Amino acid sequence: MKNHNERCSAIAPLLAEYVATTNNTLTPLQRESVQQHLGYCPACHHAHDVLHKGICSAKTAVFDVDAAHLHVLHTRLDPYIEYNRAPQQAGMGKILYWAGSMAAVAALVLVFTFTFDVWSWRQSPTHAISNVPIYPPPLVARVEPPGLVDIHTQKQELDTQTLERKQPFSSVRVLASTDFDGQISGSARSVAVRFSTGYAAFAFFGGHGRALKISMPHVVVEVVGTRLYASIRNDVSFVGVTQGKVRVVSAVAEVAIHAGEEFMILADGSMQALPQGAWARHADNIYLREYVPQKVHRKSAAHDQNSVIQRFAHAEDLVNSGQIMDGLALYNALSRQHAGSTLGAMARYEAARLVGLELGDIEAAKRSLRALARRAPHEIKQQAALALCEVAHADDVCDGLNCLQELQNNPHFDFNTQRQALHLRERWDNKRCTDNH
Amino acid sequence: MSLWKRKVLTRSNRQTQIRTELDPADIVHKFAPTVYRHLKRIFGPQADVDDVYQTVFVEILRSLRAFKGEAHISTYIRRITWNVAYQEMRHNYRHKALTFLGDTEPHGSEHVDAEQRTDDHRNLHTVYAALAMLEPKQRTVVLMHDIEEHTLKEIAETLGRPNTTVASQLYAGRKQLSKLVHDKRCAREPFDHTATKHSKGKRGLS
Repeated sequence: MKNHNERCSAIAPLLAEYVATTNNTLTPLQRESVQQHLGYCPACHHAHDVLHKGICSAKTAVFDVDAAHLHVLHTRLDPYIEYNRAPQQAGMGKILYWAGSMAAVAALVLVFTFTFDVWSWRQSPTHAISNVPIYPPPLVARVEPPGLVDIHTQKQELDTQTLERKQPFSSVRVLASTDFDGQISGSARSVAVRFSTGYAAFAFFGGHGRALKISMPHVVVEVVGTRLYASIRNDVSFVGVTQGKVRVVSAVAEVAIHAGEEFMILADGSMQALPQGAWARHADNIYLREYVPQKVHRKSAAHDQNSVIQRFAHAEDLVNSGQIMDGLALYNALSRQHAGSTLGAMARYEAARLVGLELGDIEAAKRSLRALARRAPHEIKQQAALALCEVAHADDVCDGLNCLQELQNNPHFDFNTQRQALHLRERWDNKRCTDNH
Repeated sequence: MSLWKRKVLTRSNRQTQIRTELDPADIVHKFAPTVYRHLKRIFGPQADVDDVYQTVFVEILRSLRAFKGEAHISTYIRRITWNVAYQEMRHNYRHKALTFLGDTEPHGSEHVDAEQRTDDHRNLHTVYAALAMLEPKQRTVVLMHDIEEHTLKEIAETLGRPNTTVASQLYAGRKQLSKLVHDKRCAREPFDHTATKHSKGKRGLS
């Protein structure tokens, strides 16, 4: 009896495993011993029956649902349903709250800006360049080379043919006369201009914290974000400001020149204000007004995402409308911009298909698609393999069909890809291939 | 459709569309019978699942806004149902004195029709009563595998456990279930929680 009980204690835990149809861990030997044991042990036999029939019943049991009972339960759930609908209205309230806050902030900013403008206008009226009257300055006429300006006819226009436009750095643009003799250099802290003769107008916008320093033989001009011009003729320097303010330092004097003002600096360092800054208007009209500083906007991730989608859509539209090269250029730009990411891989994929199927450069397309088929994310990898077959088909029908056949037989490709391959095979005319071979 | 459309456009549009289309009331009415039947299958025909049913829907409604549309809504609800059921099992296992009554009829069985008192019904009840005695982790795995016939991989994904853990829990659960049905020891004495707890070592989510 003792042996029998011991046997039961060993067999009983295995009964559920014995009953189970899948994932049972019994070895054939254990299964056989359980089977033998069930033949003579009524307790285990009963337990086996209970387990077998009970689990089968549980599998096949159909549980009726009382609709009335469920309705009662649903009435208890109504508050939760209403609560979960409410957040949408609360969301609108939140939007209104934020919109109101933004409007209030915008109003404050406007009021502040207006107050500041009025205050600064009272403090420095010379900022209003348009109010500066234009005189034909005789001193300037004396020093400027003939042909550059025709003072006598009162035209007051610079001859742009004799001027050079330069943009040595992103933050500074220079309009220089052809007799400008000097050099422009930049460092991490400043942009330095040295010149000994000639005329130059400068537009300078900060330069990410860098200052512009203009060194002339008798004077140094320090600029932080402004527009000005300077000229040196016959040892006499002129500095005029069209916008903002500059500090001019010579050996004997230091003066701040405001917008619309022009100073003459003699060889001994003495400075003399000219009646009115006539040239300020000229410099502004001819050249410096063209300068529009690029504003850097911080874009949100969502904006970026939308922008990417729009660019993909635009590229597709271009291709569909027959502007293949423009579409290709856009795909290439997207590929470069998002290099190393899924978006970049997608752009490369589209570009490669265009190159192969539309422009006929089979080898280039194959190279690109092979690279994608090796390294791109999973879905693009699969699509690149399909596109490789398409490109091969464009080159040689049999190659394309063979490529598809290989793809269908390759277990690494998922079901959808293989289905697409099958559709392509059905669509393609394989008669030509069989005729040729 | 282009590859980029499939990958970028469709996903963002689909998520927006799903969020706007999911009406809480519709969800409740559409999936109520399914969830109720599912809970009955988990806890047994005699179990009172009304509270769990409500908890499931409260949880579904609460997490509806987090639904990203990556799986089908029915899969999402099924997963929530299993998680809530698991929490309920844990709660019962900790706080309620469980007794395995073996072949005897459950409490309130006088209302059950005479036709239902067949062997199958008794066996069914016995199995569910034994399952109720199992540790919640083992119970969920045995229920999902042997009764709902999910694969080990599916169970692992639903419960967020490694495949090997699920396999060992299935083995341990079957062993315990067999012992309970064979011995019917709890028909005579209250089930000793500590014995199971200590034999299984640490508790808590795997």
